Amino acid sequence: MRVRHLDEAHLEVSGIGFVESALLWRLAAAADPSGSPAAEQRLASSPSGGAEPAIDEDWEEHVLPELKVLFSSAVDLVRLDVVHSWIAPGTDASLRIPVRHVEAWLLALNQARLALAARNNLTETEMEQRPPDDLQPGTVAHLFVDFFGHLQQLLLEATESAPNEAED
Amino acid sequence: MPEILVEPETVEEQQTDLPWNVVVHNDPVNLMSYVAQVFQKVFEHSRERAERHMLEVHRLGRSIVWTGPRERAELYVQQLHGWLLLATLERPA
Repeated sequence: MRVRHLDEAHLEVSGIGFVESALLWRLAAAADPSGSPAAEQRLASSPSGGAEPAIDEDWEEHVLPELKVLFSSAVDLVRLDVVHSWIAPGTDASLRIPVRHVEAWLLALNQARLALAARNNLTETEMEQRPPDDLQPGTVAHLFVDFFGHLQQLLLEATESAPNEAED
Repeated sequence: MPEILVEPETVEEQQTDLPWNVVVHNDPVNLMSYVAQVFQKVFEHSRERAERHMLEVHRLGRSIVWTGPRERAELYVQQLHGWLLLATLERPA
């Protein structure tokens, strides 16, 4: 899988095989913290960590709703880009991402990684190590976290290069 | 001599005038390159300065990324939360 500038307005993610497609297909679900207090808490951390109750209360009432709209908007935008990327096993595909959507992609990928790690209680040590060869939920979550991180890194590198620098 | 009373409102006003710190805390899930790019976007830091703060977060667990008036500090914390960084506002010592 690689990411390059297709033109000034688009990035292209190429080399999307069946596995990558299957993982991308579940990005929106992975980013949803519903049903996991740990994931919900991570996506809604307080601005003073409890040290300033008045600021935290005001934040919860006025700022948090806006942030939740921002997060869900990013995921919705990405979902629209991904909806056409489903491909059959044995074929390769590419995904065209409008440059104006890249910030939403970076945020949605981060949201998914944070929600998955919190939901599955992945520790820093676990994430630095090779995942175990089992199919426990935490191991599968680790796979998603790694894959979304890889795509996030490719997008970050592509956005740091000018369109003509990234062309072959 | 009568005792001098300081009105609570006055104390509060003085405290809000003092510079507040915007602190970013380490989160092992966030990519280091992502954190550095967020600093560049939010604070318009140079790449070098953004990476210095990112490395401070990574190595020391936290970095004071901005200091100034409370209202603006709150706005920065809101922007950092918008990128899902662990950021807090700290009252001056």
